[in-house]
Amino acid sequence: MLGGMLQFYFMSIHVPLVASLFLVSLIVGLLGYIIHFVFIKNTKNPTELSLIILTIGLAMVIRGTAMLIFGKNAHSVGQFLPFESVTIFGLTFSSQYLVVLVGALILAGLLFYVLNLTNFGKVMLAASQNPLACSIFGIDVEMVKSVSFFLSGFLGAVGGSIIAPISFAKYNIGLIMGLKGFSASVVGGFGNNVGAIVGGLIIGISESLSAGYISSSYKDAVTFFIMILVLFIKPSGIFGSKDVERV
Amino acid sequence: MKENTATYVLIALFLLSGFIIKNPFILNMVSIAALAVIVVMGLNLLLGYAGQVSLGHAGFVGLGAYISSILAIRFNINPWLSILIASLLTSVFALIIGYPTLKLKGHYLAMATLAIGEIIYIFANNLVDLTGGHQGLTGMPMLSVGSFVFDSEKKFFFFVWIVVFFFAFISFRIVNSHFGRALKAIHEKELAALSFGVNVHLYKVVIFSLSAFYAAFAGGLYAFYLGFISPSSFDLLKSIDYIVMAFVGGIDSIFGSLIITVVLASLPNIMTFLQDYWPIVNGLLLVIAAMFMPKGLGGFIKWKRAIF
Repeated sequence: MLGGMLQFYFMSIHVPLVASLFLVSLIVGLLGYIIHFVFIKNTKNPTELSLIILTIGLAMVIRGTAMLIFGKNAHSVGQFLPFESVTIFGLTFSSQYLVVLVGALILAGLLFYVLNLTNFGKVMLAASQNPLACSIFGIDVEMVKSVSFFLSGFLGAVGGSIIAPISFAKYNIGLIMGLKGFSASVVGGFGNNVGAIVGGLIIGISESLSAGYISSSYKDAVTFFIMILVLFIKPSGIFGSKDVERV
Repeated sequence: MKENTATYVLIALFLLSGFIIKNPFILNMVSIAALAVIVVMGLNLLLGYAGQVSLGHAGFVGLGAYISSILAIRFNINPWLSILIASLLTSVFALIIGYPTLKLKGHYLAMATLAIGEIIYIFANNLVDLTGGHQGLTGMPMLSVGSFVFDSEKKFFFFVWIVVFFFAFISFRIVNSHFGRALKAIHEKELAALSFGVNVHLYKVVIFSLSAFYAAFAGGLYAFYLGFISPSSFDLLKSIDYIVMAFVGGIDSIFGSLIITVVLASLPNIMTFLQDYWPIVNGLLLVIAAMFMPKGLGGFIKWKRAIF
């Protein structure tokens, strides 16, 4: 949400596209870092529950502030490419979809490279699995956490700003979009790159199909229904790994 | 003083204040707050004793409100019976949702309930024939016992605080029972509870379904009291309001959350000029509570321990 809103703001004061995209993701990434540095680090006896509540609270503050600053209306954001639409194999669609597709592929590739092939990615993975063992091996777990907060803010902002020309920028789109992302990873299976892509495709296609065949007002309901169905039948997702632990 | 005695005294004070307060606006406001108290007490059981978050409690309130009103309007079922049926149906619904999600480690329930809340909201908005869509649903009959009709703010005020008393009584009975202590153990250390033979999954599902029952019951009363319901009363922001009330009041303190709920549910009605700022205020309250007082305001009160 913040990504889209800031993108709207910077474009409205005529900052060039690439610069604004860069600025937006940097600002939101820094915000993620600050959230970790100021709030999460200083929480008295942090439990899983209190951290969830904390992040819900922060989300409310950010959302409320965005509503005050930008108003309750949806803002349109200009397309990134100079031409309106592209035609491939007789299919015509808005050029922004191309940007989103390419952007998603680049980000997914980068993320895959960083997480699986670099030393730092392996450290991140290790820190999430066993922070104590990591700190024994001399890894600064807090630093790793800060960086991952920065990265998640950064990626969220890039996603938000490249989707903004399609979805419009509004103060309350973030949560539903986040929930859809969660649905996609539940359907595909957590901790699995192929699963995330397949899950996203399943969610996206079923959403479009249900908008066409049932009614566009129920498309979100269909998405969430599929997620609950998957949780019911196969909680580890289609390509599930053993990461989802049962009690 | 023990916490349950203090809570009963507080509820009795609210009941007595009904004799003094003449202003129907305030009576109405405090009655609505009392309904929120019921929802928050249910949420407290889930947060404080099962350690799980529900982000869709307003959806359950809405489910209770819509099912009971539709039963009463379409099928001419007695309002009391329809509230009961709606609450039972909602808790069965919660059972179905909770069963798979509570089996998983981590906070899948939060996400699943968030989704459920949205689904209920979408259906309430779009099943226009049944729910009246965003224009809302009217035409519920008034609640009555024999020829005594709850038609004024004052009558409902007394009635709703008696219901609050009843639910507080149930809560304390649960908390201080074998079941409640087992839940407490689960919240403290799940593995330890498991090794003592506590059926962790079953207990969590039951408490979730019970908290949905609380919510739906409050929703049913809300519908028949106001005689008008619309989807906007049951959206995500409302769910988060309930979480704020429960968490700031203290997740395992019924007394604390009772006070905080009445305050937080009434303030927006008094300070309407601050309307746009409420999400920020709520968010800040949550942040402060989560950072510095994980047990909420109720955690600061030291109750005399009950020796069971």
